[in-house]
Amino acid sequence: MPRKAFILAVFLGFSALPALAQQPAHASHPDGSGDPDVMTCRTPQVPPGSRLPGPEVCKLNSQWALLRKNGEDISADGKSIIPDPKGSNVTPMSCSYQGGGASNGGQLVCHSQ
Amino acid sequence: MTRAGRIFIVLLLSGVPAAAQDAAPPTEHVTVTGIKDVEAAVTKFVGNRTVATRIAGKLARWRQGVCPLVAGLRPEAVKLITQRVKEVAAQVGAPVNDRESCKPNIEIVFTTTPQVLMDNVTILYPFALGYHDNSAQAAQMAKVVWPVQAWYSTATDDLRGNVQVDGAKPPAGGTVLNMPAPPPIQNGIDGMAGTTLAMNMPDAHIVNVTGGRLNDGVSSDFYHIAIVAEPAKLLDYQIGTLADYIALMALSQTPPPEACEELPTILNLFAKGCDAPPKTLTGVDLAYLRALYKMTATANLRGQRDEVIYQMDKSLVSEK
Repeated sequence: MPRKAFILAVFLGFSALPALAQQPAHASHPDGSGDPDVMTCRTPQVPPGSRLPGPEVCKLNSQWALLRKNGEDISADGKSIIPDPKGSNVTPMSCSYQGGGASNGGQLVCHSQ
Repeated sequence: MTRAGRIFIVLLLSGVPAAAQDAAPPTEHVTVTGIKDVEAAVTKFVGNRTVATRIAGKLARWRQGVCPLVAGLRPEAVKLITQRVKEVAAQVGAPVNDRESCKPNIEIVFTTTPQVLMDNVTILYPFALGYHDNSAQAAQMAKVVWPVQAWYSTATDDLRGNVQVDGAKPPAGGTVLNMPAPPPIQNGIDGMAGTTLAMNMPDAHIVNVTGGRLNDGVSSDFYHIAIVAEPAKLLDYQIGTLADYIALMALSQTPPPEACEELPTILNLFAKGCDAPPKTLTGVDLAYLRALYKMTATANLRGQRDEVIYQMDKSLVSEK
């Protein structure tokens, strides 16, 4: 029997589907609060020594939360991680892992204190 | 961002042509001492130490030539580890990229702050952690728990040679499946009969398969491997021993055992309860790697494991 190609659709990232269906939220300084798997975009910032704004930087809330926890931020050009210039002015975040079991460490959920 | 973090360059390898695999290396016989039932030990080793990829459910191995990049050590040590990984790869039949300016696909970073590095990887290059469904899994995978730890990013290679990185977003638009509309449910409600419904699946990939159960034509390849080591925890180890341990991790997805493995393997280096773990790659390690690179890439997981066990059994001889 000749080889017959079947089409198999592999579903990836089921949990991200609801997030993809909606427009990402925007903030000038995302703090990572809210659903860890929802995307939040930082509005474009002007890099030092430039007149043109950099790109919009979109990350999951869990990624923004990790950045804030480590006192870091994404550079205006969106390419690297830098110390958070607003770190000292930001309300401290309380982050904890919630839920989870033997094979799952739970979700990092952050709230402003 | 730390220097090590900056060095952690993630390169797209889709354009690199797959290196053709040379003829399989000859089988070497290794005598294993102190174990009565070598075959049972091998079966247990393969069962416990091999990991199936999440998408294709196969054992992954390198299809593209390996090109290691070492950072965070003095130049002599960098050279030693780089050469050792390539040397072992050639020895076991794995493809090697010998070009000086090859694009690194194995990044080995020695850093005093491994967790910070992996946090930054989670933020900037989450795919390098390996396949994950959500941020909770990503956070779990990014945890540094070993003095030397590896993260595997894999790709699925289908029947027609299409390679897709596991977990990567599909091309814009995803996939649309056109399906015939369901038959009318009740009398009078047949407005959709004869029409088709378009099912939009934005996150679906198309994979061409044979349809066979034993060999579906799909294989798993390594796309990128990140190996992170913390020098402060490795003061008691020789650089040659670490190079061998790293070589094994760089050529196979073999999670290290928590407790001492019965077969003599360098994987026991950091395992609890091992009095004198091997300081170099053992005959068992080399037999395992040779078997991995000899097995049928498109066979199903059980078939692949059986092939690896068969090849290892052929090379390992119990001392009478």
